[in-house]
Amino acid sequence: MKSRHVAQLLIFVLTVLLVPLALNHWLPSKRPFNRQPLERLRTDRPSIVLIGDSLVHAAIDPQLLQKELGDGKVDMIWRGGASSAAWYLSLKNYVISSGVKPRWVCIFFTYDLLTNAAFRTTATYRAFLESLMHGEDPVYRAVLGDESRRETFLQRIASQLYPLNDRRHHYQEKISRFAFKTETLTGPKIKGLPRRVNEIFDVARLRQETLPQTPDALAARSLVFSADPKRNFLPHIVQAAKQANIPLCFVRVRPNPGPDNEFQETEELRAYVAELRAWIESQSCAFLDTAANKKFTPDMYLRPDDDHIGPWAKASATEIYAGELRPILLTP
Amino acid sequence: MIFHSLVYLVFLVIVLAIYWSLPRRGQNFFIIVASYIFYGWEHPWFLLPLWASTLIDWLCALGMERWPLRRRVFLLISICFSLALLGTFKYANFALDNLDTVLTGVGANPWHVALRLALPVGISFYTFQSIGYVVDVYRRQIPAERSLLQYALYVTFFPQLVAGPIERASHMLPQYSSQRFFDAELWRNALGLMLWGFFKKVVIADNTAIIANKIFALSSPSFPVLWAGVLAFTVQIYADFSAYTDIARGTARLLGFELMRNFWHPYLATSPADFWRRWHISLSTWMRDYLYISLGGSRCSVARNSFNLLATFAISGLWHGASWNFVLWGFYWGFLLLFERMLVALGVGKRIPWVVKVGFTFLLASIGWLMFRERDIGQLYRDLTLSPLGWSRRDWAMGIYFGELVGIYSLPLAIHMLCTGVFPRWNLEFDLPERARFIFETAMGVTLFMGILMLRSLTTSDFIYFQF
Repeated sequence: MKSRHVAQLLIFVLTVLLVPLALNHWLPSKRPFNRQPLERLRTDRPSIVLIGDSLVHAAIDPQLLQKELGDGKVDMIWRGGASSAAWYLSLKNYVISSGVKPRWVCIFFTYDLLTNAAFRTTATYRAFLESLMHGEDPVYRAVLGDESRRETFLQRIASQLYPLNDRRHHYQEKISRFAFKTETLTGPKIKGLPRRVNEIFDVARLRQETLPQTPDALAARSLVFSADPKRNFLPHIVQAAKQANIPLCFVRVRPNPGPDNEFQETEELRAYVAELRAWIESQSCAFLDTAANKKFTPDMYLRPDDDHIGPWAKASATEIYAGELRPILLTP
Repeated sequence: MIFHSLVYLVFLVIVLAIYWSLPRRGQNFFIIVASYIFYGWEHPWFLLPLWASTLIDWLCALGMERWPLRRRVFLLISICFSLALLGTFKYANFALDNLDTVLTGVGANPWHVALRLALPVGISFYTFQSIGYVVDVYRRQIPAERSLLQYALYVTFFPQLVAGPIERASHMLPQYSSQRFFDAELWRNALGLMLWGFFKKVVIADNTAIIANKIFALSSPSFPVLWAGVLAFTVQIYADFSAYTDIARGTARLLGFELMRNFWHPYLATSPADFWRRWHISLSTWMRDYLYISLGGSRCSVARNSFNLLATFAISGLWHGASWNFVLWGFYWGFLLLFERMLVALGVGKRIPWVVKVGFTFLLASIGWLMFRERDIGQLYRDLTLSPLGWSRRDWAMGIYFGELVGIYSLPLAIHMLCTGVFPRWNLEFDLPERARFIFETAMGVTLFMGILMLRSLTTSDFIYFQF
């Protein structure tokens, strides 16, 4: 055996393993904090802040709600697919950090998402969550710990050695964006193509045997309410708001009630919501349940199988929410 | 244990450290133990059929030599046992389902019986490898292996146990009985091959799998989106399976063995026959040597030869899975080969440019992959009869977007194909001096490892061929 070959083998192995280690210093391992909502809050100084996902964005026009309530500015922090981890980080790193002390912060949720800590925290959602954090968030890490990454011991070591490995979603998003951009070279630009691509994978268009975990499926699975701060973000949301002296109102959104306008709730979900409500109210927070509100009629929804309000009914939905929220938010 | 897991890497490091510190006899015994740990890692009971197959085939081969006049009896016992194993674990429910359908069709009461048996991974591979050995002994092409240890190593050698290559005893048994030496240059080569395999699996195959899985989950995709999905699966299955082979060959080299090449740029094939000379070479040569030739091969009438070819491909399809779409896929290729033979006999196609031949064969292979991927025959019919006309610019934009994504992820595969498959064909060789080659290979190693770290799919899946 030639000693030159042994040396080459060692150099090969060491170079392959060490160069990415060195490059970690030049390539950012996390998405930077998105300051935009923070600056907006500081400029707008709203008296009511709404936090939620695409359901609240589809259902509420902040300017119309502001007009309806007539109690200062209304601002909305939302993102499609956001969940309790994002709501906690938005409250802490935007609302509270802005120094603006709104009169109310309303958090909109459906099903058990308020206490389902791990929901939508992996893959591309992790990139979004990173943009809400300054580096590592201790509460985020404490609640989700390894569950957010579903990593084994070995994978954790690998991730620590090579933080690039945790940054994959960022590069994959770039590739996806590049493909969208170059697609326009093949013909006239299609407005909102990324959204339309997502739409073709709507639950209604999937084969029965391949259905993913839908909100219905989520509602159907075993629901156990827990206010354990090690298991979910709800106690941390309440605690952070209390410390900042900001009143909280949790709003349960009415899912699509179906053609007969009767939202069918399972016994399990009903019991879960009762416990959730009792706990929230015991923490001196407001709880508004619109799930049984028949003013949200089936024709207001985007599609028969979708929980989003259609654009044509956004104003009406905003007015209904204004009517429901007024007694809570305008009470001195 | 799966190759693209950190557990496997730790396992491999431990195995290599112990293996190279042992004498040759100890090395063989140690690989057998390591192979059983590897194979039984998640489901230890999978070892039972493996042990049974090893023991029975070893005894049958010895029996053939001991009692030459009863060679055929031993051959039958061995083949029947191997087929019974496959039949029980892989085809029993398929047969019962079809029997139910037939019973219902004739108005009788169906049985509604289903066996609740998990399919031991790699059973199709090691049973075929064992059958190959027994047939070789029967044909007196190789002597029966006296040592159970040596034979067990041939069947259970962990790099190729789960998804091939389906090795030949004449190739592997001499290697198991020879002395091995640590070769640093071979190790560097093996590590490079493994890195390329890991890259193909976790970057190319797993990322294109996301696109293919999404599109094949749609109940009524548009023509452009459907074919973007087919393209994604076409890339996925090649990247996935060839990745497994590369990791297997790399691992074997680290242990001092050489496994056969299983792929040779199949998407550069110029005809269906050429495709099968380049795709899953170990299976296609197995089918040729042990089935097609046993049926009579081509030394018979045209009708009989056509039957032999179709039967070989239909069985090859069924080998992949207990489902009618695989049989259909097998027949599809069988008919394509027959058609090709007819064209060759008529002298058609001699002047067709190479690029056109490659493109057309790729298209035929992609249609085949649609049959392979789509298990619902009704949906397959709808997919194959979907018209390319009448779709909106939006539908085409979506199809192009998915196609571009597949193109971006498969770019390294295309470059590799160009450099190692096309350029040599055009006599463009890149013979670098040793030092330059070392620098180039190291740079490639760094690039591949960086690629794995930065582009590894967010969701990973088992190798496709594990299910076979």
